[in-house]
Amino acid sequence: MDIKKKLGIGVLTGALGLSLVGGGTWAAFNDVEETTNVFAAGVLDLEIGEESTMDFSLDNLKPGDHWTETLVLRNNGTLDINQILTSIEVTGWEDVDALDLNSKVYDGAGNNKLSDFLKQFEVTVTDGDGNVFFDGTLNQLHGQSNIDITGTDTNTVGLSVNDNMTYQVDFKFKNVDETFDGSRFQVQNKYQDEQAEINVKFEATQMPGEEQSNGWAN
Amino acid sequence: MNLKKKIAVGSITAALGLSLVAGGTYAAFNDVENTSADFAAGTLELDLQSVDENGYEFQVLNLKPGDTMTRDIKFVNEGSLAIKEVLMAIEDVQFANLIGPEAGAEATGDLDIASSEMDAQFFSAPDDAWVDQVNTDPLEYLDQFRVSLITLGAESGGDYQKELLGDDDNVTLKDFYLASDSVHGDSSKPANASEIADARNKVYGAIDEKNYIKGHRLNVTTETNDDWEGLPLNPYDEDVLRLKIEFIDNTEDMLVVDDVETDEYWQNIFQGNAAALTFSFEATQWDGQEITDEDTDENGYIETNEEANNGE
Repeated sequence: MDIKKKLGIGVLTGALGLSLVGGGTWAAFNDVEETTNVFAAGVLDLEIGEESTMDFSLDNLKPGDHWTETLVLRNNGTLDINQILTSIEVTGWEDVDALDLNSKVYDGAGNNKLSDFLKQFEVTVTDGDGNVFFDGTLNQLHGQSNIDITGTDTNTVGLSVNDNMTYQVDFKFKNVDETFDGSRFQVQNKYQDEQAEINVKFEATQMPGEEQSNGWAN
Repeated sequence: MNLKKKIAVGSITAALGLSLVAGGTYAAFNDVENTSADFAAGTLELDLQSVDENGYEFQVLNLKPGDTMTRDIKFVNEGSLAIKEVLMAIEDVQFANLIGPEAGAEATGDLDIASSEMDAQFFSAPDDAWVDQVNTDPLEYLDQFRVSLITLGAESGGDYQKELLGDDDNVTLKDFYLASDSVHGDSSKPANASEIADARNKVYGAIDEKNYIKGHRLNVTTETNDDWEGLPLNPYDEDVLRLKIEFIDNTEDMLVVDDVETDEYWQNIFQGNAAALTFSFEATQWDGQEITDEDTDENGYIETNEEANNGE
């Protein structure tokens, strides 16, 4: 039974109840029956588990440094979750030429775009079964929206009530041994002192509506 | 969030959902969670500073054989990352002869300064035998200068000292230049492959501390294999390179004209020679490391990246 239909019945029942009360005092014999209809909505609650370390802050990184974070998603509600649509945005970046490469190497040598900076970071996402889910750069993840990470279709439960999903996320600041032509300066120097913030949004969706008999629906 | 509040929110969502139904989706209930992660790169920055009033650059005109120039170059870590090595090389040499028949040959760059000041001194060539044999070969001129290198560390006690090249090694600027791995490549040097190989054998053979040799360059910070190695920020370390260049005084070789030895010293042919050398000092980072909670402070700042060998 879909929500619209459920609400419709609720309104009709209410109206009928009022007329019965109004007409009930004249006759000597009468009988009154009431029905009680309970419609309690369930709770769809995706929780980022306490074991998650995806809220991290790292400063003073150098090329070659690498680190591992854990993402735990838990269905903490009373309704099964269908899909978990993930969107990633990177914010808070600005171009910095810490070594003044623009004057030491050539005009423009110290400049880069956000995409250049994000390409310096390799990201590998591995699911709980050890399957590599994503292997690429942060730049490929930036701007992705509504990517389902449960791997299910719209009619299959992606994360059932009380279940967990765990992902391991490995980050690496690439170390690229490449200098500017005719210069000792490494090209990656242009990224010194730059920073960014990765914002990841996880949206859990409900399962499709269905016909329900009495009892605990979902 | 307690159950009551959750349901209240759920009802609002449901009411909103009705209009979404008309739009063709049944995903009225949803929940959104967010994570946010910051990451920032550090800085690797070397600054050269002078120790005394002599500065750290050589700008010496009107030299004579036997003169000695000593410069202390202080290496200061101005960044946020520990420096592993400072690699020294002579990248290129500019040369000019300012006297004699071929005087004034293509003075460029830093040599402009030298030539403008020396032109006045050597406006006319003296009437001496060597003038016809005045040197025009940059390498021959550089071969008259002996170079010695000592690294001085501020490690723990401050009296750390390591001689890389001493006077008795008899390495000249010519040897050092040819042996250096120039950024412009070996082909930029006025020498052939076997001359360059000979110079490398001589220079790197003369260095007792083999671990200071990095390819065809020298590490001129301290290789102590402890917390003070290189230029860490914690403990804070500054190292000094003492670079001494001596104009060799050769009173044995006499000038020969038409197979006859004259009473003029052979080194007279270097009068009016000028050269500008570009030394480079490249600071390198330590290898990348696995970052764990033990490497960072409570704000996520990677403290071990300030230390030698990643704090290992």
